[in-house]
Amino acid sequence: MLRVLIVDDSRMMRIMHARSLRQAGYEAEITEAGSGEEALQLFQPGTHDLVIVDWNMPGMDGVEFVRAARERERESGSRRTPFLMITSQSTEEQVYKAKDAGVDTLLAKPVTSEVLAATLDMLLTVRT
Amino acid sequence: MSHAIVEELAASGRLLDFVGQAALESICPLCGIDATVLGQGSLPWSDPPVGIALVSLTDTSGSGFQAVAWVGGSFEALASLAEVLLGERPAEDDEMLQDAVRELANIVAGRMQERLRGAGMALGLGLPVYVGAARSLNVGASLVNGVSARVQLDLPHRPVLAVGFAAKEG
Repeated sequence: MLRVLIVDDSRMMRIMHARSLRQAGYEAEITEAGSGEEALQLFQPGTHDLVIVDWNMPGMDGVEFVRAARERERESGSRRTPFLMITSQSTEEQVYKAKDAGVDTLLAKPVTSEVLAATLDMLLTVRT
Repeated sequence: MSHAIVEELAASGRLLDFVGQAALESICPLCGIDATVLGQGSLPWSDPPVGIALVSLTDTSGSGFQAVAWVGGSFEALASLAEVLLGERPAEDDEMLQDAVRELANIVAGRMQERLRGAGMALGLGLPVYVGAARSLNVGASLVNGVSARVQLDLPHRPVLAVGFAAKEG
């Protein structure tokens, strides 16, 4: 059972990501956060197998959350959690900025369950 | 400079192509349905959308240029779209209806950002907002140099959405 944290201010997108995970054949125990701040409260290094995060959110955005979460991982000496950013922003500069913050893979919305499945297979295989 | 680019794109018809492609690339994979661009709608609207989600795009060079991308339509059209995404038909005042339309506008804006970058414009995205009824008239009146595309969804009753992009006055 995959432990997944889904961070998106859109409840509909959180529902759709969870549905796509199931369609992609992953059994997942999902925790949801509607903001970067909420996600940071829920994120404990080493306790999630995957974090799916949006970029554009009110308050702390996805990139700020990832940067803070990576810092927490470094401080705790914990294993590196795969961070998948699914966002409407996908220019070269934005991909660079996201990766610099600690995002492993960035996908541009809309993401089909087939693309999500292939990306997760790669992300989670690399990790194991 | 940016106003001139948008004006040229609108006059040449390329802006309508950009908006149409952005709409199809967003709607079809997200909803898992086909859609067709029927052509250009009027701007400012002669038939104001009952609900509309807007995303502002701002020139990242600090020129002050602002534009907006949107998805709007009648309640029937927006509810048909939301039903596909949510699995149930929402009521007019349902927050999930607004959420669905906001998210689609956000994705369309991202696709427009990518295309306009190729045309020499570097734009940053704002957060999507949803406005209803009379306020959509005010939005329509403030737009210049833009296009509104009529996009028909391959769903029962063939609902039509207004999807567009325009520079703002200023």
